[in-house]
Amino acid sequence: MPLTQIRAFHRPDHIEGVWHLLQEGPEVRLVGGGSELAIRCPSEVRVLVDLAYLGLDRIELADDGSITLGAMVTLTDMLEHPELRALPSGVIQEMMVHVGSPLLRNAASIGGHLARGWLSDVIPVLLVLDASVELYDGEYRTTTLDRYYRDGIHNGLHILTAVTIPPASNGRAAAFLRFSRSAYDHALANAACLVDIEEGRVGTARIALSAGFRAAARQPASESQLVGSGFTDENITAAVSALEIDAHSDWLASADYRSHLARTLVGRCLHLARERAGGGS
Amino acid sequence: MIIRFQLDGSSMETDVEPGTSLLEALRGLGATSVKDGCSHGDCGTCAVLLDGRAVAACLLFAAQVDGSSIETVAGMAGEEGLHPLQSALLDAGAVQCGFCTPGILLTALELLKNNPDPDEVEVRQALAGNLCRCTGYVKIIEGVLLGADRLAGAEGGS
Repeated sequence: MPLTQIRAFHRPDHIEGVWHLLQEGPEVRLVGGGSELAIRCPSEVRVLVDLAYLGLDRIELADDGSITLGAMVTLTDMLEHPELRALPSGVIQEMMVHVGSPLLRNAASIGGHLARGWLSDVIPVLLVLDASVELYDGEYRTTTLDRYYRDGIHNGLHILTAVTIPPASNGRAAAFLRFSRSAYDHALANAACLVDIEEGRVGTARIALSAGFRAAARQPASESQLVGSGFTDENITAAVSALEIDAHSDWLASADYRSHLARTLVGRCLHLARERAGGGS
Repeated sequence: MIIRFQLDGSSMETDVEPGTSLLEALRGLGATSVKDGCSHGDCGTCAVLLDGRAVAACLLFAAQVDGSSIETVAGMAGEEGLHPLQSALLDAGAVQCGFCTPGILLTALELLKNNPDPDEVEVRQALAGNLCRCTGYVKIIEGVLLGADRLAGAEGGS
């Protein structure tokens, strides 16, 4: 700041208007909370399009128990919402208190946070909660958050309009852990997991982790080590061994260090989830 | 572009460039209690209350606050004197160079509106985005807790 190259700031009140502007080229960027652009605005950007007038700031509960968050819902709204706090093991709250600070969470939108597509404490938790996202690219469509990143959809031209978290069945337990140099710093690695135990065996297992600046990813090979088996120390060790970690080195930490951290965090997450699920080994 | 908003209860109208930050716009209007520390959202000295929520003014475009209400530390004191939270920070010795104090007061004010009886951990979490280069955090936290007590006492006595 100041961003002297910005020539126009538009505030459309319908999605078609936003989409029309966005198609004009790489000099156009969408404004959610605004903080990401304020810090890292690419030099080619000339036109900003504010999403604040589309009515995307609501949290809606469906009859089936699913929760839909408009893209402009803030991270603070998520932290404080009773239905989100009631998700398994209070994992949204457990994670969200570590995201930036109240000053950032009060402004940052969930849509902007997810669309930037890099290191985030929010993404692994939404991945294990099986969240989906609604996009607009001339028409509305929905995809899982997992595919949104895995298939590179987040890099394409689109407007992220909503996030939906499906209802959680009873008996599920979840956990989130991160490691950073200081409380306010970006995580060097983070991990989330969600499990449920049926008659002493793991019925559902979801594990997601990130170990660098790329967005978190699900770990299907590790998850399959647990599903249908007892939630034993041995099976947790096998799940950790099966992790496929996409770590990288930078001035904060080496890839080896991040990989070690990620394995440790996933192991601890699984032990914590087992404890929260009431044992099961 | 023309934007209109409430600043400490007064109606404001100003013409800003599209890329102007809220911090620049406020200081341009003479609201210099809003400090420019890092301009990157790291230090919290530029915190203001936007519709009651503490935000970093350097991380918002001025155009985003059109139609909103902004409160700064300059609007905290009333005709009867300093706000109880301001007095508490003074009495606790929580002000050294004072540069971080406006942002800390506003962030703490939001905390106490939502959570009138915070514990030390909750105060620390609330102030996670407010840096004090003098490193006087212990006194700042004591001051916020003292302010909470005084506000609770004032409400109880009214």
